[in-house]
Amino acid sequence: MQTVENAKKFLMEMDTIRSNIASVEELSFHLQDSCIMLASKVEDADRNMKDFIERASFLETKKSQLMQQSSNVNDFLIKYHMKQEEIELLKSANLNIHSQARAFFATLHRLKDAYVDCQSMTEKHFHGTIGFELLEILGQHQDTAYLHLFEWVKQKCESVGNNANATQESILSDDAHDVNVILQMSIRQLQDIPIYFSQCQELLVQARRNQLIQKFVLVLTQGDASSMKSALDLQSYDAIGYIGAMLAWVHQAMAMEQEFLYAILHHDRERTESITSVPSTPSTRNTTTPSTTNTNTTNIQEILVKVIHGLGRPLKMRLSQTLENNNTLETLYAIADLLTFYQSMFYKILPQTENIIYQTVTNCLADCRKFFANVLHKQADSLQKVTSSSCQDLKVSIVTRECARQIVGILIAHDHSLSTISTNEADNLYVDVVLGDIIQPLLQACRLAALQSLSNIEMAVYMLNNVMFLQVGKFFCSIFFILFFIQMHFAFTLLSFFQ
Amino acid sequence: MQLLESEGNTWNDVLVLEEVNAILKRCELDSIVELLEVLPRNLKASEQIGLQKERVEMVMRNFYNTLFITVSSHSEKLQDPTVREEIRGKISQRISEAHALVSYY
Repeated sequence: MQTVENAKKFLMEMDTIRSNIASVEELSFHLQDSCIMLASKVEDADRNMKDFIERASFLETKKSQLMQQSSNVNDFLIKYHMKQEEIELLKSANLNIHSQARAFFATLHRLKDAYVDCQSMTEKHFHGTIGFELLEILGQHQDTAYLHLFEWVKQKCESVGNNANATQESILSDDAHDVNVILQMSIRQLQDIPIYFSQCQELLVQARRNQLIQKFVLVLTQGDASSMKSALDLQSYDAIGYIGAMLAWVHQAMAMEQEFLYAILHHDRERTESITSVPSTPSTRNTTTPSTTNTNTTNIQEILVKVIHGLGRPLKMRLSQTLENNNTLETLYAIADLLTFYQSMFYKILPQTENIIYQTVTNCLADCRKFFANVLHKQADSLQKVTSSSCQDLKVSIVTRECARQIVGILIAHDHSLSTISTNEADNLYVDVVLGDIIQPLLQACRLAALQSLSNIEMAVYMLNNVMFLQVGKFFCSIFFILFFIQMHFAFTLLSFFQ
Repeated sequence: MQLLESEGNTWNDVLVLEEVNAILKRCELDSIVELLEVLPRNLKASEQIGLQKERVEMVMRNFYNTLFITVSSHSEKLQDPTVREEIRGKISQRISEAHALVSYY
């Protein structure tokens, strides 16, 4: 019984084990199925991965091709297409502002290069009408840009001409210098359009001429406020000082105008590149040859002739009036020296026959020489009328004193002379000739007067008194200059000692 | 300036000459000097007409008197003191030459 119960228990236990094993077997079958399923899924995944990698490499290749195409299109657009902001800049940039002007010129350079490249591309590769359409669009942008540039130059020239109160400081300030450089750059760009360029030149000439005339009249009638100088016309009582001041002002004005025109119209590549930071390209580089430079210089001189033309009339009027005043012989001599000096100076600045200032000074110099000769002749004639009563006391006559004063004045003018008239032996105003023309008639007059009423011995005393007086006048003139130079030398020595 | 110098020298010489002649003429020494200047060397001066001892003595007395008489000469009217002194010097020189000539003979 126990054994049967044990066996039953064993069977029961074994049933449990059997059922467990059956379940395990079932589970293992499940597991096996799962493994087989997993294996197939892994194979699928592996296959998918391979497909994916192939696709990825294909897309990568495609991407690089497309990137290359994009870059090419971008380059094409950069070269030939103007962005909207660039178009706006070309149309309405404020060229008075340095940064905007710089951007404008850079864009204009790019536009010009694009136009040239587009032109050559169109000629080489004929692709329907696309090239011509592009060329037309670029041309329209160029026209807009040039028109805007021309309008600015026109407005700038008009403001220069109307700005009569422009002081030397305002002309020489940094802002004025930048505007001058921008104006120079603008005019150089407009050289590509002859119609605009010639108009610019005319505007500039008109503006500067008006301004110069206004300044001259102002300096003559009201003075120069910036340098606290009074009106030049107030000095008209002093003929030499008046003429000297006028000619000095005109000379300085001419030199400044010449510099201004050179700055505006003469091409200086390095200077404009440094300001505008625009490097030149092969299509825009201006190779300056000696013949180009000479042509440019001649052109500037012709323009300068037109600019200074307005000064001729007021200058001539005042010079003529001053000469026609009853000037003394020594004053006329000094004026002749001054006019001769400035005649050569004006010719040096502007060696053109149409130089109105040179012509004016030359004519006035001829008049001055004529007046001088007339006064000398009149004096010689009047000396013949010296009467014998003037020499009875055997003392120095009044006419001798007068002539001695003239001689001193002429010698002073000779020592201060700026030109070579007093030292040029071929000139009628050579100092020895002039002094001879004064002394000879005087001595003749003295002899004639003495002969009429004096004995030989009295005549000798009278002549010696007059001759010695003339010689002493010359002696004191020399002493004066020796003392003057000693004084100047002492002053310089003292100044250097204190420094 | 050379013109003035030559003119001055000319009138300088004229004045000296005139003054010397005037002084010598005043004491009659001028005629004695003229005769002595043309006298041949081999002749004795005191034996010539116009050069007699008495006459020469008289002229020399007049000459010394003239020197001590204050006569306002024209050269005093020269305004330049330097030229005045120069003229006086030349006049004195010429007169002393005339005196030396007479004394020699």
